[in-house]
Amino acid sequence: MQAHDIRVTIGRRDILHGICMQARAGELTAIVGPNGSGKSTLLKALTAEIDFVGQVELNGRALTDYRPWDLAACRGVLQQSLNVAFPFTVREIVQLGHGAGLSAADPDIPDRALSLVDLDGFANRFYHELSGGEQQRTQLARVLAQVWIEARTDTPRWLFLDEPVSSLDIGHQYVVMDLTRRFTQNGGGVIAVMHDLNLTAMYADHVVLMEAGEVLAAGTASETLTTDLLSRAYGCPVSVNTPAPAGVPFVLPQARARSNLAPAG
Amino acid sequence: MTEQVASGRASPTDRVRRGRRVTAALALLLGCTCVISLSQGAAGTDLWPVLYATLTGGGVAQMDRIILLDIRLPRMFMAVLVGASLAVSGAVMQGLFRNPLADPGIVGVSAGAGLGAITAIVLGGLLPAVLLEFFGSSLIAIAAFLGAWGATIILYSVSTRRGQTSVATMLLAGIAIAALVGAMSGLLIYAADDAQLRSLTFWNLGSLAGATWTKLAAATPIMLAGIAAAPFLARGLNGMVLGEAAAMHMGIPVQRIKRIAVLSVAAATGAAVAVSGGIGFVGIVVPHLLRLATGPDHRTLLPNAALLGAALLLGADMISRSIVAPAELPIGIVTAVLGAPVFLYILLRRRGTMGV
Ligand SMILES: Nc1ncnc2c1ncn2[C@@H]1O[C@H](COP(=O)(O)OP(=O)(O)OP(=O)(O)O)[C@@H](O)[C@H]1O
Ligand SMILES: [Mg+2]
Repeated sequence: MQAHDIRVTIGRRDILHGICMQARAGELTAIVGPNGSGKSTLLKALTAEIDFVGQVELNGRALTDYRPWDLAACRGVLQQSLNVAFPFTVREIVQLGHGAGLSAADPDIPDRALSLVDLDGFANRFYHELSGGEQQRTQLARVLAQVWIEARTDTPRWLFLDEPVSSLDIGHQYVVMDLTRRFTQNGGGVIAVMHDLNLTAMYADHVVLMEAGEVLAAGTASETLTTDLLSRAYGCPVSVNTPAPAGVPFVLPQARARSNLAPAG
Repeated sequence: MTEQVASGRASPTDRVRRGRRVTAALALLLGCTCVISLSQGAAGTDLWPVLYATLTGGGVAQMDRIILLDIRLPRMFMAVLVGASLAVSGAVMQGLFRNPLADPGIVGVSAGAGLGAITAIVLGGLLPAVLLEFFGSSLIAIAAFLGAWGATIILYSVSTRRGQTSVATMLLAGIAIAALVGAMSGLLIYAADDAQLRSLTFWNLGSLAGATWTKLAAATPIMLAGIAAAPFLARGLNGMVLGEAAAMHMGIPVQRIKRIAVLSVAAATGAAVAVSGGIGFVGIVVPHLLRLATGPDHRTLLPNAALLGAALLLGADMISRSIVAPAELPIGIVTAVLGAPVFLYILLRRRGTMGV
């Protein structure tokens, strides 16, 4: 996925000022940055949800060359907030996405997608009766069912996720992040807006750090998530790789899979 | 399967299957209602002897023949078509606005259709003779369709921002449109001459009592076009339940679906209003009941709404004909008595949760 010189103006406000970024299939690309820095707006531009100036290519083809249903077959999008107008059940919601994808013929996929996001047994519950985190996982299952991959595909499929773990507990954050990792291992590409820098450090292959509508830094986690850059972007002192003072508990996701990480640098 | 037992609710596959069973049951119900409505009426003509006589080649009294073929039959078709139109356009509109309260009668679309019809009656004479000749008796129906179309487009652009509809804005905009349209209609009526006033009054009384084959022929193609568009909208409306952006990401051509939905609502509502005046609440009651019974999936909701709407309006017509026989109660009163409580019930249940 290639994006070149993306500019977005809403009303009279310039929100993105010429963003260039690329994401490779087989990798998880994380977009991080403070509130209002334009992460969601960038994701909306990359998925042609809003009008923008600039070029976006997906699998070597300009976004504008795709017909809606072809695009839906190779990329799924999870938005930051969604409400459902009518009393649909969880499985019906997932079937909406499933019906839009290439594997729509296999009727088992919705239930398997639900099982992947740890929602076994929720299929017949009403969506509007679920908790916020359960709703978020239902929507993720819907997107997964749309771009279902079990083995490597010829043309990569893509997931665009806006804060996929924002209302999830720490356990389910892993469930979802592991799932995106499996998706990339099957050759898919994932572009996710993230707020949790620790999870980002642990899972992202490529990080785009945004600030005020521009890319402040892009590269591997150890190149971008540095004390200096983060303090600049977030406007508050951040220290990377410094343990909390004695007596203050801190929970580090990396402790779970230290072996996965490159040596801290 | 254990999951099904544990949740204690019918599974969605069941909802789809139940939807199909309901379709069959409703078709049967509609057939029966049609037969009953044909055999019932103020004149006391009975359907069966006439049918028997016709089939066996026996003589049928001229009077009975007129009553059946020129009074009851067009009226039955009219009730079926108008009922199906109102129910389907209600369901489509609710899908388009993602809101179970969006009903053409409530949010000013019927009022727009009314303005179109009134304009045609009062100002139609100003059109060049060629056009008048060309449109003939369809003029009122076409004008009503245009009025409904305009009202729907205004309503949609006022109440929907970036693919999200505000319920409060939609209902209030509906009130504003109805008021504005009412004022304009009043103005036209003020300007009308005696002959026009007579046809206005006749149109205004609406109801199904004025059903004739001519009227039916003028409005049927438009109503059928509106109803026939519905099946092509079902999948798109399902996707739009998650919002326009999500629907787009699921490969649904959102703009096209919206355009067709607006046209379909305008055609079905406009033509229905042109021939029957304002019959309210069918568009809200029928989809609501069906969503309770078989879920909100538009693939079953839309066809079932057509069948149930037709049967319901036929039933309401029979009530309106028989309750104060030999006089007739306007059918709008019957549907309002049945429908208004349902509307209030939906409002009450949603109070607090949807910011209404
Ligand atoms: N529709 C809109 N109209 C006007 N301004 C907008 C609109 N959408 C976003 N903005 C502005 O654009 C900027 C970027 O918004 P965006 O939603 O992309 O931020 P974000 O990085 O996703 O933030 P968050 O971390 O809170 O999700 C914000 O200042 C926001 O106020
Ligand atoms: Mg955001």
